[in-house]
Amino acid sequence: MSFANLLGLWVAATLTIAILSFLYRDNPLYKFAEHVYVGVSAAYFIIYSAKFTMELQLINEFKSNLEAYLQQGSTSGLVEALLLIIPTILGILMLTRWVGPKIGWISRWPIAFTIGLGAGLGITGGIQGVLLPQVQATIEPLWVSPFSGANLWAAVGSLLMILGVVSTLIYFYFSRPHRGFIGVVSRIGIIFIMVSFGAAFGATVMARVSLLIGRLYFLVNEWIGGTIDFIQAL
Amino acid sequence: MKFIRWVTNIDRRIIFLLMFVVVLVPILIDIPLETDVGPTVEAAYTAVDTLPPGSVIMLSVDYDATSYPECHPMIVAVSNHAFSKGLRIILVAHIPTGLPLGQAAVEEAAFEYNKLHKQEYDAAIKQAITTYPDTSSVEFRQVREDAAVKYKKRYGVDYVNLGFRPGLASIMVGMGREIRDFYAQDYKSTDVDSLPMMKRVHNYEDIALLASFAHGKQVEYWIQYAGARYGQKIIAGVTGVVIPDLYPFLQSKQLSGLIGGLKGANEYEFLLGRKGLGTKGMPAQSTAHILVIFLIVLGTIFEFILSILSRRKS
Amino acid sequence: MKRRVPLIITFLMGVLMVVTFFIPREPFGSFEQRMLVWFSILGGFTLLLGLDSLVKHHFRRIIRKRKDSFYSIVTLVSLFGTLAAGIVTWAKYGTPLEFASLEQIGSFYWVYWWIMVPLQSTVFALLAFFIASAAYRAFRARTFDATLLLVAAILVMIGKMTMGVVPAALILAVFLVAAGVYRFFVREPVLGIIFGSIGVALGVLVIIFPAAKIAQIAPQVQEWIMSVPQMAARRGILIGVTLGAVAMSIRIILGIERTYLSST
Repeated sequence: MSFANLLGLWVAATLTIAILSFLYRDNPLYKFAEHVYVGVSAAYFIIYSAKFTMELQLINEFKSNLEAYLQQGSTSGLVEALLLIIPTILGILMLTRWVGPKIGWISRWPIAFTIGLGAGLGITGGIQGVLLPQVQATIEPLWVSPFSGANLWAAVGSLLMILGVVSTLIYFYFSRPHRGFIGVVSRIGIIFIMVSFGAAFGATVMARVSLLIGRLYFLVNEWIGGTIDFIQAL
Repeated sequence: MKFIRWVTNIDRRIIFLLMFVVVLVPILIDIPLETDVGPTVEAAYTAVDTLPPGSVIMLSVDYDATSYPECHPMIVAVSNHAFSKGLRIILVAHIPTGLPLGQAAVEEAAFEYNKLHKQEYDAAIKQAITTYPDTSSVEFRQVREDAAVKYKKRYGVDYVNLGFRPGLASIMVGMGREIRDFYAQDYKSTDVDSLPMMKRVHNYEDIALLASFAHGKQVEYWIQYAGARYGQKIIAGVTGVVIPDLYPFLQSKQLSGLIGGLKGANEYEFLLGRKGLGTKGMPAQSTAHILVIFLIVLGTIFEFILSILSRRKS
Repeated sequence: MKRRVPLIITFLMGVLMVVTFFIPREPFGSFEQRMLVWFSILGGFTLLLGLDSLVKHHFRRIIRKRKDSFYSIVTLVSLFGTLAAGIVTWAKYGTPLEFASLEQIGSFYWVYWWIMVPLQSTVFALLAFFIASAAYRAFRARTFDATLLLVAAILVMIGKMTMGVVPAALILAVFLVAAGVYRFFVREPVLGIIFGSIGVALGVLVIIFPAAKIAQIAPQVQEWIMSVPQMAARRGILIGVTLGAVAMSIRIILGIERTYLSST
C-alpha cells in the first residue's frame, strides 16, 4: 500500500469515528465532520457540472460543430453550434435565482421547460411502462411464476395476487363509503397492505444494518488490517 | 410494573451499544458460511452468464456511498462476471457522487483479470517473439493483439466509462435513438467514436443487457423508458429498501432479475465463487437481524404486560 | 410574462413529448431528441442551484461572528479545497476522475475515496442504530393489523439470514404465542387461538425439524411473502399512484396545476 492510501485510511477512519460519536451525544467532532461533508459534496456538484455539462455537453460540442463548419463547410455544423446557445441561455436564466426575486422570476421559463418535458414523458412512460403491463400481468390466467414451475401452489398464489391487487385498489378508492361489500373487500385490502408494509419494514431493517456492517468492516479490516499490513511491509 | 416501566424506558445508548457489539463480533471472527440462492438472483446471474462473448452490457451507477455496502459488492461481482464471460462493459452514472464507485469497481475488475491472466499473456508474447522475431511485423502485431483480446482487459476495447450526465429519464429515452447525442465523449473527453468497442454501439439495440445498481426509483425509470419503450432487457441490483418496489416488475417480466441487498450480493458472489463484502458481511447481518427481532418481540411483550396490568387496574 | 409564458412553454413541451411518442418519425423524432439533450444540459445548471445560498449563508455567519462561525469556515474550506483538488487533477489528467490519481494525496479521487465516501456512508450507517432503538420502543402489536405487519417483517428478516435462523424462528414463535394471549385479554379469543396455535406449531416444527431444513425453508417463505401478498398490494398501490401521476402530468400540461410557478 502506498503512503497516500495509508494516510487516506487514517483520514477516513477518523471521519468515520467522528460521525459515529454522534451516537453518544452531539459533539464538536461530529459537527466538524458534518460540515466537511456539506462543503465537499457541494464542490463535487460544481466539478461535475463543469466537467460533464459545461465542458463535454456545451463547449466541446460547440467546438466540434464549429470545426465541422470551418473545415468542411458543413452548414448543419454551424446550425448545431448556434442552437447550443439556446440551452445555455436557458441554463443561465435558471441561475437568475441567485440574484433574487426581482429577476429570479425569469427562472420560471427554464423550469417550465423541464416541468413540461417531464410531464409529457411521465404520461407515456406511466401508461406504457407501468399501467398497461402491470394490469396485463395481473389478468393473465392462473399466473405461473417465472421462477418456479407450474403447479397448484402457483395457481393459489396467482388467485391470491388478483385478490390482493383488486382489494388494495378498492381500499384506496375513496369516492364511495367503505360499507357493505366494498367495506369487506377493502378490509381484505388492508390485510394485504399490512403484509406489504411489514415486508418493506423488514427490508428496510436489512438495508440499514448493511450500512453499519460496511463501516465496521472498513474499520476492522481496511483500517486496522491495512495499517498492520503497511507496518509489516516496512 | 415498575421494573417493566424502567426497562421500556431504558437509555437508548444501551441499545446502540448492543447493536454495535452484535455487528462487530462476527466481523472480527470472520465466519465462513454457505448460502441458498434465491430465484431472483439466479435469474440475474443467468441473464449475465448466458450472454454470448463480445456482447455489450451497460452498467448504470444509480447509487452512491450512502448505500455502498449493498450496491458496491454487486457491481464488483457483476463486473468480474462480465469480464470472465468476455463481455464488454459500458459504464454510465445517473447519481453524480456514485460514478467514482462504479469506476473503481470496473477498473479493479479489469486489473484483477489482467493480473490473473498475466502469465498466460506473457507466455503468448514470448511464444510470438520466438515465432516472429521481428516485433514490428504485421504477424507479430496480430498475435500480440490476439493475446491481448484473450488475456487482457483494456480501456476502450473491453470497457468504457461514459461518465455522468444529468437528466435521468431524458437520457434513458434519448439513448434509444443515439448514445452519442448525450455521450459524445467519455469521462476523459475522448471522442466516443475513437474508442474501438463503441464503434458499433449506437442505441439499445446494441446493448445486450442493462444492469442498474440503484438505491432509489432509477430502476423503475429504466423499466419505463428503456424497457417498455425500446424493449431493453434489464436486471437490477438494489438496496433492501427498494426490493419490495420491484417485485411487481419481476412478475410482469419487465425486470429479468434482481439482486437485493447484502444477501443478494452474497448470493451472487456465491454463484460466482468470489468472497467479497457480500459474503463477509452476512454473518453480522444475521446476528443483527436476530437482535432486531428480539428487540421487537421484547418491546411488544412488555407493552402487552403493561397494557394488561393497566386494564386490570381500571 | 411571469405566468403566461411559462404556462405556454409547459404546454408546448408536454404536448410535444406525447406527440413524438406516437409519431417518432422525422421531423418529430430529431426534434424530441434535441429537447431531451437540452433537458440534460439544463440539469447541469440545476446542479449549481443550491450553491449560492450555501455559500452566502456560511459567509454571513463568518462575517457576523456567530458562535458557530468556526464550522462555517470548515464548510467553506472543504468546499474550496475540494474545488482546488478537482481543478488540479483535471488539469493534470484531463479529467477530475482519474482512477490512478487515487495514489496522490489531495487529488480529487483521493478526496472522494477517503473523505466523501466515509462521511456519506457513516451518516447513513447511523440509521442502523436508530432503527434498532425504534424496533424496541416504537413498534407495538396492540391490533391485529399491527401484529400482522410485525410478523411479515420478522419473516422477511429471517429469510435474509445465513445463520441463526432457528433461534430467530423460536423468538417469532414466542411472539405469536404472546400475541395470542394478548388477544384473549382484549376479548378476541378466536384470533387469540389462531395466533397462539400458529406460534406453538411453529415452535414445535422448528424444534422437530433439523436446523438445516429450517434454514432452507426460511428464504422460501420470505420469497413467497415478497412475490405474492406483498407484490399484490404493492401493485395495487403502484397502479393507483401511476394513475395519479399521469393525471397530475395532464393537469400540469393543461395549466390547471400551477404550484411549480409559485416557488420563486
